[in-house]
Amino acid sequence: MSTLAVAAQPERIDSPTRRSLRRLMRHRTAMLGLAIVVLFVMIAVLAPLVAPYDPTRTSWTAIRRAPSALHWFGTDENGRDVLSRVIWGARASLLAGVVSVGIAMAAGVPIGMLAGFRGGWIDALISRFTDAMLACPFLILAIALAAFLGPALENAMIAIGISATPIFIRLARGATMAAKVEDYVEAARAIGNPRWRVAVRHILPNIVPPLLVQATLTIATAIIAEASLSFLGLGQQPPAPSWGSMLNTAQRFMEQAPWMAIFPGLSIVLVVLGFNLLGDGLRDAFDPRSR
Amino acid sequence: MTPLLEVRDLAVSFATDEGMVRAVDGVSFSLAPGRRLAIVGESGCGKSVTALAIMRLLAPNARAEGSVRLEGEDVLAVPDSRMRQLRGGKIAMIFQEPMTSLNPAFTVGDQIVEAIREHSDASPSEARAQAIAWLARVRIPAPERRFDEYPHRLSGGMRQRVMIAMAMACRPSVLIADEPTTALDVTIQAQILDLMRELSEETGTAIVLITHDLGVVAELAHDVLVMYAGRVAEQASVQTLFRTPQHPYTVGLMGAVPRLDEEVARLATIEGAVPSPRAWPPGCRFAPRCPFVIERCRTEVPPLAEVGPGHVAACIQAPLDRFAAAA
Repeated sequence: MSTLAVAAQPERIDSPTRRSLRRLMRHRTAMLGLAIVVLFVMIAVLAPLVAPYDPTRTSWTAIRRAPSALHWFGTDENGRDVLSRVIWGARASLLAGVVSVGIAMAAGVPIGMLAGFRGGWIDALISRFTDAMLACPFLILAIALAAFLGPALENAMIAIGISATPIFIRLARGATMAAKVEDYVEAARAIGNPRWRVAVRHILPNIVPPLLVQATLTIATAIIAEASLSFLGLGQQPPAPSWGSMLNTAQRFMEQAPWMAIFPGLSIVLVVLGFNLLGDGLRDAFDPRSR
Repeated sequence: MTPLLEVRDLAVSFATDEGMVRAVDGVSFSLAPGRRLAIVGESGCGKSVTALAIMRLLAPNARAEGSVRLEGEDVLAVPDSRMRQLRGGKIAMIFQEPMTSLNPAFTVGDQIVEAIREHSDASPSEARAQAIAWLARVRIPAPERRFDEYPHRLSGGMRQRVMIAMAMACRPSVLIADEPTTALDVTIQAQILDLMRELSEETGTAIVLITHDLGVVAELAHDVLVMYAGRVAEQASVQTLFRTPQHPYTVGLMGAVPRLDEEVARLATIEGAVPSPRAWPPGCRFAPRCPFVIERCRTEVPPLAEVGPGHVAACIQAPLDRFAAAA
């Protein structure tokens, strides 16, 4: 009888990941977030194709022109097309978001897992260090580090990455501590797995969901941080476009040319909203009970 | 015959804020190939700690003393690398909670293959074939399909079968089963016990069964070790122990098992609770709950004394036959 029931089921391997993805697909706001993120990623990747003008070409005959059919988002104080600069600026923003979170995870997850898995003085040392880093506000720390490293987009990414590392250390540590007392971890050791493999093969896959949620939300924070650093002149260097540096220039012309501020500002709001909606949706999809 | 597994004077202490606490004290037993020994006792009597000590899977704050010899090798002394070969290879373990003992992130097949590849040179395809054969052997229907399924799709009984397949896949000489059926339905319990008995008879794997359920003991074990408060209370063959228990604690345990063939208004219970390892009573640890207690019990530690052929009990009043009329 039970074989009949089994045979009647469709031939489909239902992994926990796939189940979560299915829940994510049904999550409307998450899908909206995903659509926004995908849209911006496409814009960033296809920037050379979709930008109507060269983002750095100045034109003395078209300075601070209001939006028109020729320049949809208007032009800036050097006569550059704002739409093209917003499009190319998406590259800097998304790159900064993804790369800095990549740095933070690459450093934070192994350190956090080590702390959670080994415990004892190793954990105490790492945790106190993490607490000390978390005591500094994220943005202040990023600004200080970026100022120390020197103004460049790469340095801004490193600075934001380092500032975001303690978040991942802490999360990975907590999740590892919760996972390591699971019976399947003991069972894995009982069949003779060495410690490192228990950590990498049995614990890591089970702590990916919270890390993925945190990564998505931290990308949003990192994009704001990059915009802030660029606004302060510590990120993307002129003439290369960045939403933050565009806002910085725009503030001097707020009354004469508000479009110079509105469009990069709107882009930041939209892409950050997109990542936040996606992150929240991922959290619901991975842990339906948490709602 | 030389014993397969020989445990001598095993003691396990835990470092706690209140100093060293000794949870297991002076446990000795030996196991011959193909034999099935049950370790019985209430929660907190040290039976699981004994099992983990043999596997060397105790928490880092625990210390095990005494000797555990597996085919002559001192398990407590071998280097970690050798211990990893022994675990799974010569001595395997299954756990109480089949629902949480399988990693939710991998298919059941992958988990069995991992165990096989850890201890043999099998190629991935050979390991896969072996794993499917084991799934069939533990009577999982449609094993080829089940191989690629994730644990959440299987019932508790199915998962315990997978755990057994995983543990047996490397043909260990000893299988430690820590409450293997406690979390399962009664009907499934019987199936799992039958399966374990068959596998042990077919492969010659000896079993150490940890349980608090005397019904399970009667179904599966040849010999029984009754533990109370970290010490051995009584040891005998199943028949002897059930027919003539010689420790008041064992007698109490039997009284607490419901029977159909006797009309009893109320099930007997053992008054009180197991004392805490932080404050073992001096003398016999069962004395505060014992119905036959005399003054000497509270001051003298009763030695394990032979009360019959292959039958030992740690009670200074044993044999208890003279109480039989009174009780």
